[in-house]
Amino acid sequence: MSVTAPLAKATSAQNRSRFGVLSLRPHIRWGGAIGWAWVALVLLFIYAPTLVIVGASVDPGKYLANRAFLQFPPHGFTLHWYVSIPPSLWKSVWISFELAAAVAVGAVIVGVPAALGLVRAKFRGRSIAAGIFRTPLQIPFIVTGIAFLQTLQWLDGTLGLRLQSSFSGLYLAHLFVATPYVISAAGSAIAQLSPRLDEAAASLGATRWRTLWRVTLPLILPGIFAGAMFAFLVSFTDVTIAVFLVPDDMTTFPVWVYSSIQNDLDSSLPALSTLVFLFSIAAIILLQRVVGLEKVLRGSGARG
Amino acid sequence: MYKLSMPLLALLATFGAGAADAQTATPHFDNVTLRVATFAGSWPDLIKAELSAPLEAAGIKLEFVPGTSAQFLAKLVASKGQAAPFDVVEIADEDYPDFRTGKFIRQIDLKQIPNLSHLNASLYDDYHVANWLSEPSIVYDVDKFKAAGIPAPNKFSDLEDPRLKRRVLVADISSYISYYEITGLAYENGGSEKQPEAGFAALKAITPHSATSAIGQVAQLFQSGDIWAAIWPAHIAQRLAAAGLNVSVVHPHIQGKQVAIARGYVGITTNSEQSAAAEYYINAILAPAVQTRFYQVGGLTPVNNDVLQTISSSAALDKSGVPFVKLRPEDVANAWWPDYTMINRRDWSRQFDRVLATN
Amino acid sequence: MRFRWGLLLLPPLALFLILLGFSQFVFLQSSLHEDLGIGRLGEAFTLSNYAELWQDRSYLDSLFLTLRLSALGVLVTLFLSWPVAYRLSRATPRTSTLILTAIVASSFVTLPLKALGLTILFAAEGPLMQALRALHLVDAEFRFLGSSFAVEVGYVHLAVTFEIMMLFSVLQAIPVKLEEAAAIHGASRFRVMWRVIIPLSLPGTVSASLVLFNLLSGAFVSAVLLGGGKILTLPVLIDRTLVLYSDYGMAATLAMLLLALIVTANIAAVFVASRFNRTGELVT
Repeated sequence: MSVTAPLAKATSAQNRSRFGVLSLRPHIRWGGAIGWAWVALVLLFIYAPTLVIVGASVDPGKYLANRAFLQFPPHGFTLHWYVSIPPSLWKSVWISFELAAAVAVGAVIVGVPAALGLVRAKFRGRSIAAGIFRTPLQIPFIVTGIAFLQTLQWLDGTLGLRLQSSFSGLYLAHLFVATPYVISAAGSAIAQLSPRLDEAAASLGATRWRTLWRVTLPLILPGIFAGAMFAFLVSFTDVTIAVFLVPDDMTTFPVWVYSSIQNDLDSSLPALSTLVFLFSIAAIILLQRVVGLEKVLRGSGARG
Repeated sequence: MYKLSMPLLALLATFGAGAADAQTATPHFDNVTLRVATFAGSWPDLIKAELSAPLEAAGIKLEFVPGTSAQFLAKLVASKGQAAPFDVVEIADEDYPDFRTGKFIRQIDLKQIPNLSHLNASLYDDYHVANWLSEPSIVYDVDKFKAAGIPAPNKFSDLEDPRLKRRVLVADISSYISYYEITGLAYENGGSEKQPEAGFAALKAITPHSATSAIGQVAQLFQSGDIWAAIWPAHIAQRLAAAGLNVSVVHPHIQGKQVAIARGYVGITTNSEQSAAAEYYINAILAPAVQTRFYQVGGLTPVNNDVLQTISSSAALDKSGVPFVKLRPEDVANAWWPDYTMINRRDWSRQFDRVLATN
Repeated sequence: MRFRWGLLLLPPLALFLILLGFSQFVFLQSSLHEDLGIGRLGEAFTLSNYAELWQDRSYLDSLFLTLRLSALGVLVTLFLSWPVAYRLSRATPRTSTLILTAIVASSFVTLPLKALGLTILFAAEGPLMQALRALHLVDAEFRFLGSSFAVEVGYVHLAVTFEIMMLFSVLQAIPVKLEEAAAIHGASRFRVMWRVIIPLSLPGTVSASLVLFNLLSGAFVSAVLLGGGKILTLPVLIDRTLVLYSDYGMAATLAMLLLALIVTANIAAVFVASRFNRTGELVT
């Protein structure tokens, strides 16, 4: 029996599963189906609470009097809650968005040079430096939040530097916990670049700066985008840190949700949350089209 | 041409009293900004709806600083020796001793607040004036109790019924209501504020569903059937009844009193430069217009006896015709509350956490 | 390369050291001061806060509760995520992208909202709980809110999207050809999994699980919103200590305890991981 016969059998058309993955034996298809069932169940698990909120957003309740509680499945359909979202709440969504965008940009500005330095520089304390950049994700967010709060209070008390009434404290704290994602994603992308690319560019007469700008950065752009997206995500959904650092008169969307649940549940909460969720989906799909998420997720390498 | 007769003039004067109620002349302030530290959210809107216009006419501009009584205390501690961060401050019952010992509030010239004549004497003194009340009580779902064959509760300790295991919600120690439940349970079991151990033991025997300070969550849990009873201010029953639940309220009698009352006070900060305007403001929030709004929108019990008299005749009733909230002035006069000077709050918090954690 | 790449590193490193050192120092050193009430701290250094940690059993109980819930959360999340990550890594790019996009989209919903959705979903008289009672999986007294089950569900919601994405990038780096080669040589599906894929993905899985453990140990929102005041993990206790009595000293002390837990777990994991070489075999 020739050595290639099993291979020929394995690659024959009969053995390709519906999903186009090369099947080696029939019972791999069985394994495949169970795998997809698992995926479906996990997706259902992940999305169940969100679907409940979406459903509760169209439930009329007794909306003539302020709604006392949320119901699911909805006992009717109304868009009343959507049109009665107060402007101050839209403002909190906008603030979250602005803050997260600023954090993403800042994280890229700080993180990409750091990633370049970490991957390409050869020096003794490299793993220590890498460790320092990882610490923000090892310290619990609640500790980070309280620590920054106390630091701001100390700055106010000792140096008279009033930062509490602005978003600067929160911005720095978010930058602190978001940048490691950019460093990690960009770092993986940089590490996968062949050094020959730089050598080729240099041999064609490009300066170091041009090489960086015209060759390296475009190639690691998917990695940068991945990191920036995580940075945005961390800032946009953060509650724990923001709850301590948000100024008195303005608030971010997640903090508003949290305090709404902790105090008196705002009737328009599910409606606004559904809109934010739908917007996020649209944004991600857009990002997927523009950048190509699969490149991002496959290219960011073995984060092992 | 007619000359306005004296009786007619007197009548016009009474009509013109308006929001300043019982003041013969409207004092005028020189465009001062009065900073009021009070609850966040829609609470300032309640006050602004009634008072922005009249106060501005008197030359006072309102500015609100949001937060809780505990946060305001912390801010006053942090700014000791400097200018006061606000002029009027909302003081919770349980924080008042700290406000006094820290000398953060000043004496009020009670003569400048004529509306005090409408308040029960127990609701104010030289340093603080109550501006709203709430009534911690037992709120329970009548249908669920009947279906399970549990008799209607009379006192806090009745919630220890084994059929109510994990069906009773208690107020969290972060909320003033918790001091009522612990003190009430203590007194029912032979203890007191100084000896609360019996209260904590009774709390453990209740095996609570959970502890919270979130009114929204209480309403949600009643509706979903997770809880059948809660130790909570009575006015939540009105909200639940309006949403279709058959709930009733029991006001436990402690030490011979008919109802438990929690007071929300206002005070004037020591370093405030606007004490005259502050006194004018305090008088204004005791007036019928604001007090009625506190009741209708905020669901709280007013402190103004006239308002109490008016609304008690139209109080919301449960299915058996009993009013949820006790609104007669004589009820408010005959109320009980914990003696906070005898309570070590830090100690109670740790004990509370321990009782809840081992459930 | 004459160009000093290391120079690029300096400004970010400096920024991080300032943010890290400054904030942590200001906070953590308050653990060495006595609390005087309402946010004030005593002048002298004292170890009384740490003594109180030792004397009051409830603090250590909280530590062990945090450890238990986090460890269990990691295991459950791993159990749920690994098959999903594997299935996606072996699927066509179009399918895997679609599903991964859906998973990423779900993490844009902030956690308090998910907690609210879960409470409604698990309402005592709702269809889900009725079904669970009918199947005798829970008794009549079981209440979702306030149970450690609820907090675990919250933890898994927090962790599962990150875990799937991390494991996906680990697993998709293992070439399919290796599986095919093993299969061609006669290995059954099970053996392929056991002898090829799992060992190769072990370092990545351990690393991802460690990240998750750190995340769950510090998780605050789930425990507060779903714990009903009864599940007092260290993050909840830290928050309560700060917000309820403004005791920065004790809050900092509890934070040190939490950090000690995390550092110990990280060191232990690194130690265990170092016993395996790159292909996942135990080195003695």
